[in-house]
Amino acid sequence: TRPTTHWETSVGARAFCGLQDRFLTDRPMDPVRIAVVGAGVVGLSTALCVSKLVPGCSITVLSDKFSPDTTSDVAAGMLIPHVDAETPIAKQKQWFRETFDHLFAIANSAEAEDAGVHLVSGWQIFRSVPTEEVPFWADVVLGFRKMTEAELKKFPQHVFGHAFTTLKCESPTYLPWLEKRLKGSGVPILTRRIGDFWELHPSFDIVINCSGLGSRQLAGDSKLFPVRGQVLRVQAPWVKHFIRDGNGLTYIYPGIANVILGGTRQKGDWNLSPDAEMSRDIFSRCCALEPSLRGACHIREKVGLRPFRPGLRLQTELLAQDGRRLPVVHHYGHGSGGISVHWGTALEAARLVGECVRALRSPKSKL
Amino acid sequence: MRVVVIGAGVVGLSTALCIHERYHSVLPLLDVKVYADRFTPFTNSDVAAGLCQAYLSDPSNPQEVHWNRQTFDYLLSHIHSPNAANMGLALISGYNLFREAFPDPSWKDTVLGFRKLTGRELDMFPDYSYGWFNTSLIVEGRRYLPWLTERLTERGVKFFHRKVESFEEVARDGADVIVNCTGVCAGALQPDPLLKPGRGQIIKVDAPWMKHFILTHDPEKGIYQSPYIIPGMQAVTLGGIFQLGNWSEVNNIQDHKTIWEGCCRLEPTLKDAKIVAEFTGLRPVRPQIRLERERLHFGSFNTEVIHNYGHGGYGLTIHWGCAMEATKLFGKILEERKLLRMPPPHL
Repeated sequence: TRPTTHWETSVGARAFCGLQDRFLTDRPMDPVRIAVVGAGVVGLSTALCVSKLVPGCSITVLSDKFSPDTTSDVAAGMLIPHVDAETPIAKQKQWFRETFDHLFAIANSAEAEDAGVHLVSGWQIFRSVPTEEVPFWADVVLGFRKMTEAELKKFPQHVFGHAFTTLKCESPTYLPWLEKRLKGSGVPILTRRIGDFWELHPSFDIVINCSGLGSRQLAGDSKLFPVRGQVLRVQAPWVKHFIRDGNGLTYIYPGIANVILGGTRQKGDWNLSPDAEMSRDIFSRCCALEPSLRGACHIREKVGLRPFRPGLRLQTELLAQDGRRLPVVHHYGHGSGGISVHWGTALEAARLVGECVRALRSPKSKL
Repeated sequence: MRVVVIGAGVVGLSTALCIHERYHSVLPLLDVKVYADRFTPFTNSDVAAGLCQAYLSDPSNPQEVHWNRQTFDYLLSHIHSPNAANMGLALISGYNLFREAFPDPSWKDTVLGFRKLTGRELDMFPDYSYGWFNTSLIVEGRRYLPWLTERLTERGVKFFHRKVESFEEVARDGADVIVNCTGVCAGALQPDPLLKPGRGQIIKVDAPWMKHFILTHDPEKGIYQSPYIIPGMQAVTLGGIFQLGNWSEVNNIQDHKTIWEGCCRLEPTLKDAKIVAEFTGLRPVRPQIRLERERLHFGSFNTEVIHNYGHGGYGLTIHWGCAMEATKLFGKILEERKLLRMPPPHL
């Protein structure tokens, strides 16, 4: 009998149609047991996508860190894509669009506050005219246009800019909201530190590896490295617009409970302790763009290590050892752009998981 | 030269400041006092959401377009100051929504980045099919009035809590020029059948995820009678009440429901917003602002009155342009009385 499934989002359904046909079977199925390692935005959204889109599975999330202690929690969560040099632009645009559309629907629903997602307008400004005046994602965000001369007067050091409306997805709220939805779907969420994928065998049939920077050890991926980012969280509720310098180093992102000021980009730096000198520098650079920030109070410092890789790793690896087999769907290495593309890449990971499940169930399977 | 400004709302305080700034250096004996029966936070200016946006249709007096623009430019010049937040000033972007196509307003080049809404943006507002997006300013009375008060106090301007019953009493006290900024109560000093209260009620909520203003317009209902949501420096103002001729300053439960239902329909996320306050204000509605001189005779002496009242629901939007105009009128009085040793600098 064809299993029924409940499509959570129309985006997911569109993305997933076709796979549904592959689950025709005449015999009842034992659920395929899937372990999701990692509970940042990538782990939780992947678990949710798989739970909604891949029938016949039982999912468990395992992580040593949860919100508010994940890397995602430090990120401002602004939906402004970071270009990944390895992935084709069309793919990056697809992932960004899927994420934007998904979050836009949440922002316009009554759940917006519970999910920590809201619209914010603002400006991306440049000290010299960029070679690409219109970025690939211009038609994904809302109302994208070039800044007028009058608008640029606010930024005397800058000569060009983009004005648009985008979304902010705040992990300290979004992640608990995802966790709640997972628990509501019967997905256990366990605190556990995994040192080796084989620890999950034979309890689980498939592993989805969303361990971010942890994959350096867990997956032995030496291509993965941290790019340290320090930010300030301040109280300045009168700031209603985001301001981002085109170089990406200086930004002001107003959120629900605070404004995030950033930032830094330190390649290969693992230090999670805030640096006071850097905080002063961040504050000073941001005040240059928005002088009223001088009146900001309750300044807190945070550090996050962006999980950088030359290209996102989104692929299935079949681990084999002593006659045992364990398919691992890797889903990590999002660098600066995790939140901007998380839903799109989670949908893709769910597709890969669906293929693994199909392969496991296939009577010809030698797994 | 003794000047008495009656009224301590945004119009009274800004006019006092403008006059003092312009003429203090050339008129050493300039003495400015403010008389009012209400001060911040109990004036109408404190109730207003403070969004700088003029009416959609052209005003009957074309000078008002100019005064709106002057005010916007003046406030915009302060936006870059580290003091902007202390002044109650912030940039804010947002949506004006209509049920059908509407002509562009006269102020489209005054505000920043004015454009039409795209289809995807309109999808957010199912009851509306057309609209604008632009960046404007908030000038929040609860911060701006104290800031103006501080500037005036620094300059030695004194404030008196006093209910003025007549121009004559102020003239007899020794005022050479009276600046009448009494707003909706101007009729008590001199009957004005053109001046009427436009009662408004607003609910202030905590909804910090709201970063945009949303103003809806219904041509059948008239200005301010359709829901609006205006984030301020901290809280968000919800409104949509305009009752011409209603003098009640008490919050009304039916109006509360109208505002709440209208705004929640417009923005479903508000259902979880915490209500922090509710206020009623009386907009000083008049077909056009009364901004003119009048010479009054009391027995053997004359007093000059500069009227500056009747700013409707756009007082904060237009205040500085009007203050500058009132200051010009004051300058004319000084010229006529040959009180200026040198020609006044251009305003």
